[in-house]
Amino acid sequence: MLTTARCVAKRSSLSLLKRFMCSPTNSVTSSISMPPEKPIIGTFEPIKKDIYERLFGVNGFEPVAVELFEVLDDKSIMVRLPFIQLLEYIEKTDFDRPANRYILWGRQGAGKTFTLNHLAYWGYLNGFCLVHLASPRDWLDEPAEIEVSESRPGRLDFPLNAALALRHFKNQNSLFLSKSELKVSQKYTWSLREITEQGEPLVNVIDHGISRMKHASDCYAVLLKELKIAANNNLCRLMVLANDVNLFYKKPLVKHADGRVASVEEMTLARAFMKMFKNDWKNGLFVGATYVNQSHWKNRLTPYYPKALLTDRGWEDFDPFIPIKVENYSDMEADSCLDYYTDKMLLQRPQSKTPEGREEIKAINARNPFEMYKFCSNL
Amino acid sequence: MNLSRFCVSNAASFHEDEDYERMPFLPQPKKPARPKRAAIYRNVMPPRYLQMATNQNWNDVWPAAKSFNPSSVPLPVFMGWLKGQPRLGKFNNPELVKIPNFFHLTPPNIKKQCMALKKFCSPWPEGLETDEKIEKHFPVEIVTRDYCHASPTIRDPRARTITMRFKLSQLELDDHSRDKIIRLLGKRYNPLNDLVTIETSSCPFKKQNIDYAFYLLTVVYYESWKTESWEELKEPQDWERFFFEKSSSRKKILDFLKTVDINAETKKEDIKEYEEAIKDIVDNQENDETVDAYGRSVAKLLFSQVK
Repeated sequence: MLTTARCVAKRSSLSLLKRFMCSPTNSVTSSISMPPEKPIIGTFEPIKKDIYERLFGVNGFEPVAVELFEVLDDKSIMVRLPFIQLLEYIEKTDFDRPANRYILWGRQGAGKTFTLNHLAYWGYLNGFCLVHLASPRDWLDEPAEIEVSESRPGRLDFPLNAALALRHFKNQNSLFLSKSELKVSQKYTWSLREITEQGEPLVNVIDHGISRMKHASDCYAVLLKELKIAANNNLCRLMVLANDVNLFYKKPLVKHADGRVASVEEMTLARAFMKMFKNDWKNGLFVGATYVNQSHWKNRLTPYYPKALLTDRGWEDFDPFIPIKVENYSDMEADSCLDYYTDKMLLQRPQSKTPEGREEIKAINARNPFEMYKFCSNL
Repeated sequence: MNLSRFCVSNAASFHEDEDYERMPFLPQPKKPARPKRAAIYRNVMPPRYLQMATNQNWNDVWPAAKSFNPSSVPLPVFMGWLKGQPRLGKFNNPELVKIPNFFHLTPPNIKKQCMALKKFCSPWPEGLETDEKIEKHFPVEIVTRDYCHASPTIRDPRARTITMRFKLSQLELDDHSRDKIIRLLGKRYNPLNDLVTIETSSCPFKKQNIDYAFYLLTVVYYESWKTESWEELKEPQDWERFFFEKSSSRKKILDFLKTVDINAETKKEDIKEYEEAIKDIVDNQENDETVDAYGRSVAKLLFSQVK
């Protein structure tokens, strides 16, 4: 398993639009085959290409990981201990109780995002309704477009990002939406002539948001609200996955037209998503992964513990939650990873395949997954 | 004729008359040299320490504090270092003279001086055998200073300053008042040894300053027991430590147990464990162990079953 470098380069709205236009809408071709009953730590679990496109085609893995998947022509995720722990917790969860919150934490490059996406894959196979937020930075720091909300004055809408989020949701849950019969619980008036009546299928709201980007932010907020209601009524089982949750508790970079820094409560999308952090709903679970930047020697010692990252406000929102630590590779996992790289011909030099070379790779990178990948990609 | 006789007589007088005073600018005739005194060579006395008896009374040699004297210290003392030279001994070594020495404070010497002083002392009071007992019976310590010097006046303005010391644990305080008194005392309180030090020099006399120090202590004590209206604004971020009883964590966990129909009384131990874990995280440093303990305690509560 590999983790990814954080791409902080500003994505242009054009590239977002391109991704939006190119994202697949065709139906799933491969039949769902359940993974082995008990996943074994250190083994690689391959994701079928069409399922990968469906789950992470719009958003999900970081560019570095996507590149690696393309180079190796294999989309596999290593089964890690935190994933097993999560499965154990889910197994003994009583879904009639308020949703449990889990926070994945660990060093940079330890595999938090990969664990989260692995769980998304598992949830997809097990019939969960996925609400997956891969990169809150796109909302909080560098949205493609900023518009002042018409429905709620003073709030900021990000139409393109919202449409992308809706498309992401629709892609991930196409199978689920085709099976389930989720209805809208109340009447929503988008404009004078565009109305979603009570009892219409929930897909209508998503489709409306995708076709009318102006309302996309409101549609996403309504979607989350309706999903909460549906989950409370035992109509669906929700799995809310949020990468980089602690970014919601830092100062955003988005500004109002008058230059005032916008708060998270003033952004329609972020505000709607943060309502999922609370445990006032049931029949589901919330998994968040923290973000910590330790890429430079200057910030190597940045604390990566959950309370330090979530800050007091985040702790207040999530407590009581279950922290799950994502450690660096164990010796066995590192061996497994190096075997995988050797099989896939990522390791080319003969020295890197000797036992001494492998020990050196492990020792130099402290068995950190991302560091090991960066190191091995040059060998 | 006359002139020639005059010249002749002149010449004769220069050579023949010895009664004339010698001209001062003429060189003096050499005096015979003074006979040289025979040099007196004395045997150099050996240093005193070489003549000391091994069973001598050291107090006689070094009765009181004085500067180092190499010849009377029977010890191979070295001090200082020069590059490429042997170690510097005690002779001709000013460094040894500069530093204070304690040769007058040998145990027998101290004993002797104590015995001399004993007749002026009263017996040690009963019941004050240990430091704890002294602390208990005399909680407040007052330090005064007297200055003695040769001058027309016996007054010294520095003598008015007094220092009062006591342990904060001696005062009867609760959580709130203890926090407040520490904030009021500021730098006068040392959290390392729990000692409060109040130094006053506002009044002209020592006695007045002692009274003033006690007045300050009284005022700060009663002030700390007051709760002002603005103290209600104190937020969890301002808490000096984590109070589980009035925290939102307790409320949330009790609400959770209520929604899942579990009597909180039956889960008392789990809640206690959760409390300890969260206190450990908030008050102390966050690390792998504390976060792990927190996770375990939360999981125990979230997955607890109705008995």
